[in-house]
Amino acid sequence: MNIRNATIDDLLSIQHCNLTNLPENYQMKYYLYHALSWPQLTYVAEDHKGRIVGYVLAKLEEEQEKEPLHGHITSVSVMRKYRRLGLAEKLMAQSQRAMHEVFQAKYVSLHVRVSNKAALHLYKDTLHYEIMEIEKKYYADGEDAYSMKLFFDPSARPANFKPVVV
Amino acid sequence: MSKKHGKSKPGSAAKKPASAKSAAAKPATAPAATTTTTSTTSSASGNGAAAAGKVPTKPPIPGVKELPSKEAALFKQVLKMYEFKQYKKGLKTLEQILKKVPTHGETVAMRGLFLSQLDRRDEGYEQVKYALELDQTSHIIWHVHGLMHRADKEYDDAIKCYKEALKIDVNNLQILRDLALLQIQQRDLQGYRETRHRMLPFFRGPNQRPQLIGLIVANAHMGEYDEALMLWDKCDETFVPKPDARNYEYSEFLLFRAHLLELAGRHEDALKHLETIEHVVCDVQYVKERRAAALLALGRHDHAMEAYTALLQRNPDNKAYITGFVAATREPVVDVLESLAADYPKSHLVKVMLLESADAESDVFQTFLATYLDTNLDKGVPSLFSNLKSLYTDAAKRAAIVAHLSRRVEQGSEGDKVWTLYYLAQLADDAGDLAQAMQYVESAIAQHDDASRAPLELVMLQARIHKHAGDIVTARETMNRAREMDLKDRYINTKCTKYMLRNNEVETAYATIKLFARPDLPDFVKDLVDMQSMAFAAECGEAFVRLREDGKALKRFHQIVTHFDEFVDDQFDFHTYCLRKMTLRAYADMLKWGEHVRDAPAFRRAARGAIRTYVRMHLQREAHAREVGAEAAAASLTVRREAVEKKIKDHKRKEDKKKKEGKTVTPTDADPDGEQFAVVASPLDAAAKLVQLLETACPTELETNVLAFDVYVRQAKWVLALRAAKRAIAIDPDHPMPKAQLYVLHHAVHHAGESIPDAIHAVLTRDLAAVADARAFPTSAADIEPTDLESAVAAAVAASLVGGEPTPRDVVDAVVARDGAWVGITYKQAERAAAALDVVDADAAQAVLAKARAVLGL
Repeated sequence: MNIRNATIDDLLSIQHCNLTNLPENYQMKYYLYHALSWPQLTYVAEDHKGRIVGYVLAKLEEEQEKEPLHGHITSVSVMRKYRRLGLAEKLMAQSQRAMHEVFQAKYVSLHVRVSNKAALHLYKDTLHYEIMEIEKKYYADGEDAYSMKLFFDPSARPANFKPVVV
Repeated sequence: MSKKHGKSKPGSAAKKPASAKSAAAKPATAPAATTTTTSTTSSASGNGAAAAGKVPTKPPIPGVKELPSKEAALFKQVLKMYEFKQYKKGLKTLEQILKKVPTHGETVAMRGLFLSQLDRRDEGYEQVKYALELDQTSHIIWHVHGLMHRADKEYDDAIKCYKEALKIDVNNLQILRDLALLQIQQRDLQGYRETRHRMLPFFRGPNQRPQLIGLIVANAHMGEYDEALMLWDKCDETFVPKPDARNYEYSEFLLFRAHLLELAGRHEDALKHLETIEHVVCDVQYVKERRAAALLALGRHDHAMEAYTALLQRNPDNKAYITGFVAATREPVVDVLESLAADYPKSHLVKVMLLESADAESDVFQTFLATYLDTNLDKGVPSLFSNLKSLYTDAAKRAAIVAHLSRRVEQGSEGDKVWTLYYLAQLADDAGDLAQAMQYVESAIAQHDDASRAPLELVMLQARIHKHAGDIVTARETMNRAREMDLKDRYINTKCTKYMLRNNEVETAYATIKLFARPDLPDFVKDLVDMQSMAFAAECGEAFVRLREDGKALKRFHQIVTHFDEFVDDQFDFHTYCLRKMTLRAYADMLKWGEHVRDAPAFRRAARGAIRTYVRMHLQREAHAREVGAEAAAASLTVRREAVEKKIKDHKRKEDKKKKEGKTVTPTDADPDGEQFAVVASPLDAAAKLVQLLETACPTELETNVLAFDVYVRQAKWVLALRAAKRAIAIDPDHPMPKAQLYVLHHAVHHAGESIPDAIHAVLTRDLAAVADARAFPTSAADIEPTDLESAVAAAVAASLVGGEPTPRDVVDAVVARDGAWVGITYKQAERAAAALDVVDADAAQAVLAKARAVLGL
């Protein structure tokens, strides 16, 4: 699969992929907002015919008070038929580098369902995210979320910080 | 994954571009000030008031031009209220003014604007028209009129109004701003440039920037790169002092120059520019990419190779990097890819490309294939079939894969057999050997002591094989079993709902997809629509077609068509936003995207589904009229239509009443079953509207012109039908359908000549003769006797258009009886033929499917 920076032309396919795979969905305008605000942060995996089989949709948190500039993974998913090819990891790695390199983000954050063991494994063990806290009933269906962060710049990591261990 | 407020978030995003830091938020003179905030309201129900610019035809009624000072003060307050969306309060104040001065045009117009904001649209337009009779010298009234059209998404009308307003008040910046926005949205590039040039003198220094940047992007979009570059230089002068290195906005501005130079083909200059800005820009990767491409274009291969190496180190799974590197080396592809495979062992893509390039008989291919398959199967990677899909068109490569996998099954250890058998099953399924496929997948399942613990991929594949065998009932049952194995996975849920819909189980499909609906929202169907879920809508629509629930089917197809209107509209806020955010490359992409967004499979599918449904409705109504008489048929339709219209009106009236009483109302769908579509006065006119959208979006698709022809002939729009036929034959001269279309026209000219106006008859005769000179086409029904399924569909559609004998059914019966026509047919092909036949004769469509089943032994 070809891993490349997403363009506006990919957004319809990304939306389709998102609706197929995940319960958290967004209108096209929100995808446009990502692609037209931080075009460097969204990546896609495409097959030999140019069909989108996975994506990472990411943004920058610019206006959060008290928090340093950081990236945020809005959504990432890969079609089931393309699992275990390492696509999600590769997509995430590209997006994370862009956050740091283009926008000097100090860290990247994301949320994951506490029941999603496969995703948790990817973030924690493969990509080295840390669990900051458990956000109760974060999801619309009442499930809790792990709020996770990966610090690009170790100095931005709070000195007294102890990650949640699961 | 993240964001629990999937729905509220886009809303806030929607606000983002429009609000913050936008100059339009600054209050200006008149209603003008708040245009950007009005865009979100809508009630676009279509029929619009009279076209702008034509309104004041009656003799003018002398109105009051100036308000007394107390009322003038109130009027000023009203403008503020509009800005803050205090419509009810504003309306009261306006009525207070009108009590004293009933003929003040601007007040009347403002009342119209407020009424239309309060969803009393028709009254609103009445008021504005009246205002224009009272006072034709006020730019405010024209501006208000424009704002209303804009809110109703009648953008061309709004543009006309703004232009009228600007005739009166030549230098009204706010109106110029609104005009520019609509012009770029409607892609009136020429007009947009003129308006921006008119706005330029209003600003000095850095404040000129948005105007200049708008001009740069517009010129780039028009391909006028020299002008764009000249304006870029001018704009660069407004950055004093120059921003610090790695300032994102300035960085994007600098990069846009590189983009322009590249578009202009000035690779040398582009390269020079890239190397100058390399250390001050943020988007390091873009510089590296464009620099590498420029070096390659300029033939500096060694440098290009270095540049591509640096990129590959960042991302060895990028196709452009790999092909760029290969081109730069000027060495045999296979050798280069082999060395890359060694350098970047983690890249799947390099290996797949190597397997694509290498000859199937070569040692490289054999060795790499064996290693690749073994490594990944040992690791338990289930996705190899998908990952190597590009190889299967080469029969020798496919055979090599099958051979290796079979060897593994024979020799391999027990543990890793599952995915090997799974892969073999997928290959057999892909080759159409369904029995073999099922055998493999069953033995994969048998590897597990407890079959219920087999991975759900295996069960999904079983379902898929059943589907390919045309057994949708078993397919759907099997897919549901897979779904029950992992209730938390939406992918399998999505698949399963699709299979349920293929089996026409709409209610069950709704209940199943609902499992992933947000529990906090009252109406999950509305949520699916809000989230623009198009694949589900299309499957629903097609299921309703099979169930002959035309209204419900059209409801879903039109839902999708509307989503594309939304996508086009979504661009609005970004025209302003991007000029400040400076994401110009992305914005330039959006401008292109917005022009061809309807050329998407989802749109084509929905439009085609709707057009076919409308044509079928038309034929059914004709048949009904023959049965009961035209008058009785028309009367019963009118009764039905009026009942539906009344129902919808009552629904709206109830909601309006609640609104007027000041209650908060969550608007609900007045017509959830799409009854209004089923009783539409002219199905052909409704179809023609969609045909026009397809003709604009994808004129070079055969199917577009096939459907266009079908609709236009039935509407007796001969010239348009001829155009569609000519386009179709240019796209695929060997396809039986365009030939059948020409036959239909030929027949019309010779047999229905008297119903065709003379001038058009002459055009048809002349053009058909010209086409006949270039290539022969059938001139009698006997000439288009079907020899295969495709030509049978063409002949049946032609028979339906020509009428009389043979009927579509006669044509299909003839092909069903001809065994030679069915050699090598797949069920999918039969389904496609059936879908086209279904429009003209449902039984004929079923006969084709039955024959296909019999031939395929299903």
